[in-house]
Amino acid sequence: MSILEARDLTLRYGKTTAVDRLSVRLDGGKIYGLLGRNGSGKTSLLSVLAGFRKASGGEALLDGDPVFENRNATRRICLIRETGDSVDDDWPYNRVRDALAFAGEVRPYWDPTYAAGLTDRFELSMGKRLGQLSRGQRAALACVLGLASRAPVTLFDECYLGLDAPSRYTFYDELLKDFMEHPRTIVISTHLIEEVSRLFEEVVVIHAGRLVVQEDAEELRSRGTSVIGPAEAVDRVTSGLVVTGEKRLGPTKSAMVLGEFDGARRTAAEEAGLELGPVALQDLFVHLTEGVGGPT
Amino acid sequence: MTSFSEDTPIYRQIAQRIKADVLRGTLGPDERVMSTNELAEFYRINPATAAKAFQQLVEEDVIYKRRGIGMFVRPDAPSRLRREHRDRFFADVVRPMVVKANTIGIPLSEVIDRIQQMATEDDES
Amino acid sequence: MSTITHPRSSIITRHRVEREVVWMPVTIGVFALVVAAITAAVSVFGTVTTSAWEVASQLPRFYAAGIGGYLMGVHLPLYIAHGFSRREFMGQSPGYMLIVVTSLSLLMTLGYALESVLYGWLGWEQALSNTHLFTEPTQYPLVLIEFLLLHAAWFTGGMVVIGAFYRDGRLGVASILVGLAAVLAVESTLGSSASAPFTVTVPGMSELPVAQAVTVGVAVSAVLLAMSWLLARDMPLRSKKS
Repeated sequence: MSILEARDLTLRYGKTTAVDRLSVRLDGGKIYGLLGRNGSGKTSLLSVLAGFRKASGGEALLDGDPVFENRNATRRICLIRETGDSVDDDWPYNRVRDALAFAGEVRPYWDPTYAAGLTDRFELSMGKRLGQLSRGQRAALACVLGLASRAPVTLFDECYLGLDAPSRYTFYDELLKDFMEHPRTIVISTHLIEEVSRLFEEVVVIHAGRLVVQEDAEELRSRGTSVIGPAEAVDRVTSGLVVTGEKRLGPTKSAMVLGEFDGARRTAAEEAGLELGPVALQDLFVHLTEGVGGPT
Repeated sequence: MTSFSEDTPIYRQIAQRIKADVLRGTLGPDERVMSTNELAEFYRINPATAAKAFQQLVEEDVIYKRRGIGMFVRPDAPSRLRREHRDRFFADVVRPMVVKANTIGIPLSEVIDRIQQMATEDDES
Repeated sequence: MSTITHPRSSIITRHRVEREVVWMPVTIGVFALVVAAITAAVSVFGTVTTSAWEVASQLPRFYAAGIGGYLMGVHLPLYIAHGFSRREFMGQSPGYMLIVVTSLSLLMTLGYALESVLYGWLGWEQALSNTHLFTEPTQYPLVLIEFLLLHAAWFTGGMVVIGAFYRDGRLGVASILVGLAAVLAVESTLGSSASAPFTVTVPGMSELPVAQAVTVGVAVSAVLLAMSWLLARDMPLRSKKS
């Protein structure tokens, strides 16, 4: 399986730092969720990992080899952006069928039968010119290109967001089905996590170009605890823990705590009359990415 | 799309649902349960999550694996689950009710009378 | 599971030839028909005494520049996005440039030949109005060489300008000057003419002997190709707005 890795990766655009000394390692054969708010650096990170951009510092590696300008790595990686990066401008060869034929010729793991089936599933007509596709149809084509490429490392950069709800579910279904038949590394970046989070085995959260957390999706789901009660008691019980969010209403305080809220603390909290509850993944995400100054 | 509560691991929720099926008899003893992939497709979840649900059920002796064939409900699972639920019923439902009745000041005899009354009403209807 | 084939770099040239160069005879053919029609219209009102193709040949150089520009601004990003390296793509570009430039130049030379047959029938004189590497439009080897040098410079100039614009707007504007200077230098060596649509010539470089003109033309195109490599070698892919 292919291991995709960022080591101390930095990407700058002029004075803006989009990715800031980020290290993350994605072992093969899993579906990853790359979560971050708009402008958190998701697209930048994926672009460097796929060799679309050269890192300003650090390394992007596939199985230990640098990705940038390394054909042996890049031919195994498929980054799908919303536009699909296809043959729009190659008049007169700019129809849906040309886009698929082109991908078939340049993508080493392409499955033409699967591509044709997907095109049907998404109700795309082969004869339509790419320039005339609606936003949703374009997104669907991008999804077809990504899935049928069967690349050992397939990165979807929010490309499915342009799809309407039924097509999104079609995408999720196809993704899961094909992943089970042809296990590979898939990364789906998103800022809308409620709908897709259940597809992920592992979640990578980034904020302001930095890694916030990388964890098993199911673990993360049980990782947050909310503690509500008198401010003084809440502070006492949560001292020494990672508190990701706090809110006060008069004498009452609510805090969101990361990590095990184990036996002794739990008992102490209950004795102090504090209310303990679970935290939804979406809320956890919001709190994890509420950095000072917001996204850059 | 089947919904899950967002704040508990999905695999636990799925294990819970399968146990409920066993308890209700929807899944009989020695009956084959869905495969990991079928489960993943059905609930639109990551197959690793589905596998975790099965792992939990195997650990809890609810299902057993038959190599190359699939997962099956253990013959003794329904009775054991019923026993567990029975124990938990008293802890989770009856005990809080008794505590609450005490706090409000309702004598337990009145509670018992009411329950018996309800039971006969249910029988009649 | 489909069989896994690893596309070779040469697929880039093959694609471009199949999708672009094959259309060139059609494009130039239609262009020649338009030129013929205009010439016929002119002949109604007066006598045609000069080569119409000479005037017309000022346009296809923009076509060459366009194909070169497209290569950098559209196709390079497309192939990178599909897993090719910049090095592979740019490695294919000189070969592809030669195919485009040779095809276009052969077609343009053929134009002179057809014109001379046509003018012969009609009894018109196929005189040249400007100076060239050649003095008669029937000196086909020289005609071909002039077109090759000219189109190579414009093709590679197009690559540099569009490549620079793809990277950065200001760099693009600056590159126009570079492109113009390069093209002017080559055109000056070829004759007065050829520098149409510009009437400027570079001092000391006008109307050089064939050998020197070839040296300058080849050198200029080589420098432009090298510059396009510098632009391409770590070119970041832009995210296109949908």
